[in-house]
Amino acid sequence: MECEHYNERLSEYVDGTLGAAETGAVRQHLAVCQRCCIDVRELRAMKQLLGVLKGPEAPSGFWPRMYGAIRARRQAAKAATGRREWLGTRRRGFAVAMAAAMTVLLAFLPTVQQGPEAWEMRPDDLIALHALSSLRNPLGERGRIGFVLSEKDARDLGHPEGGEFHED
Amino acid sequence: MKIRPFLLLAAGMAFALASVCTQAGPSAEAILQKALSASDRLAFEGRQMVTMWLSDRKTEATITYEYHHGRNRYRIEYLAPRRARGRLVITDGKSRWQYEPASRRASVEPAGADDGREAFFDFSLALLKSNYRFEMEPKGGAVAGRRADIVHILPRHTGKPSQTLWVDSATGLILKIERTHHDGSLTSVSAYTEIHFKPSLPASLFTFNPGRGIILTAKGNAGSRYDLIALRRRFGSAIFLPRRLACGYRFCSAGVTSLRGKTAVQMNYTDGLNTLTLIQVPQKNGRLPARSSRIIMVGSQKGTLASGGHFEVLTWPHPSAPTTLSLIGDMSEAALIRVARSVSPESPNR
Repeated sequence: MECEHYNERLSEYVDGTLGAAETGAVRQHLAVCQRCCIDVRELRAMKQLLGVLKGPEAPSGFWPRMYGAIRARRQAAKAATGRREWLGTRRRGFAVAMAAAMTVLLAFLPTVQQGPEAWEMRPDDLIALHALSSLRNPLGERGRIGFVLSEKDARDLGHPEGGEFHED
Repeated sequence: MKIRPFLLLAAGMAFALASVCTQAGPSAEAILQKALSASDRLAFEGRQMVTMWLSDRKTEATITYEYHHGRNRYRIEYLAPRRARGRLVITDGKSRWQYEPASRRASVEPAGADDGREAFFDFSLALLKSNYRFEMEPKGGAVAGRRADIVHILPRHTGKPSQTLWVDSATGLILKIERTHHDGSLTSVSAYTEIHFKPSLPASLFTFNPGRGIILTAKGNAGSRYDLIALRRRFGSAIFLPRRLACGYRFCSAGVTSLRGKTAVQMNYTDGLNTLTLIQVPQKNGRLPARSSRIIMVGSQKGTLASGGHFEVLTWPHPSAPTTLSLIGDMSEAALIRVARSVSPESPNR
């Protein structure tokens, strides 16, 4: 009963629209309820991916590091006087800029790799999900559907020919 | 002339006897009802052959030797096709194992809760009765040496597959299923070619003990199940639902699952015999591999249609949301597209 009470508030908790007291109460409940933790994880994944929440954020500490790098570069540029010093600063500035650029790349590289172009639906994955739900049907063809599912699992297990999809 | 009353009496008795005999046999509905629960209470082993007619007019035969102890415990040993030979699928009701001898790898995953089965049976039978009519073969038949009642399940509306069941007269177990596509072509036949009913089977058959050198990997849970109210409460307008379903289909269940690393919401609809699945993935332009599909228009959107056995898979991007949708079912292309065109985000006011 208590779990159900908190479970109904998980969506708002993830959206950040609960009051401070309720947020605290949900957080306390999450510390002891594995089931609700799983639900929160699913909700976060779903809402973020659907774009209901804000877009992907940079990793924690990214922006302070970036601002720090910019400040350091400005200060270094101001302090530069002689050619040697100037060269040293330039090198440091270049290194900082490179580090910043690399940080940007590293921060957003996973997003690029998981982008639309890299992800493909597989018909046999979709059919396996469909077959799994069809298995519940008591009058369904369990033999055929079971085979469809086992073929998918065979592919996942690295069977050389398992799970092949029959094409037209 | 004196013989006439005797003849009339004899004819009357024959008619009465014939009526009694006809009424004495169970009705098709009673046989189906018995068949629904038979697999829950029986222990048996036997050889099953499944023949599938594929979309390229080829056939594929699967032969298994199976042990069943109630619904939740079974062991399936694959004998054919060659690529599946030696494959083992075992469940003890709590876990499901699959072993692939070619790669010497095995997986284990939770078997999944199977609660609310009786209510689901009632729901399925009620839908079945409203969408299909039943016809019994008067003579019955035999499968694997056992007497069987033959029931044809025929659609009341065009465009749906039909099915014929051979149901063991003594136990109610379905011994053979013949399935016909909505265009009348055979899609699959599964039948026991040998069957032995047992009082019980040893528990050791339903657990998997990986031998030396076999890599066993644990798979995650298949996902969470929701009813429609819970799903709406949970995801609100992030959920896409069909506004128009194919004839006779009703919402059956929903779940959140994982599809190649992406969280996917899955909704299942049934007409009592067939299932239609809608899968939505929060990914713009998720697409089917071009080699196994063809381009098809869903409204103004370019989608892809693939056939896997006799399942059709229609995938298309939603025009205004970063979401890719898929419909999977044994249904005509036109009917799938009609449903697909009606899929829209859930209104918060519904």
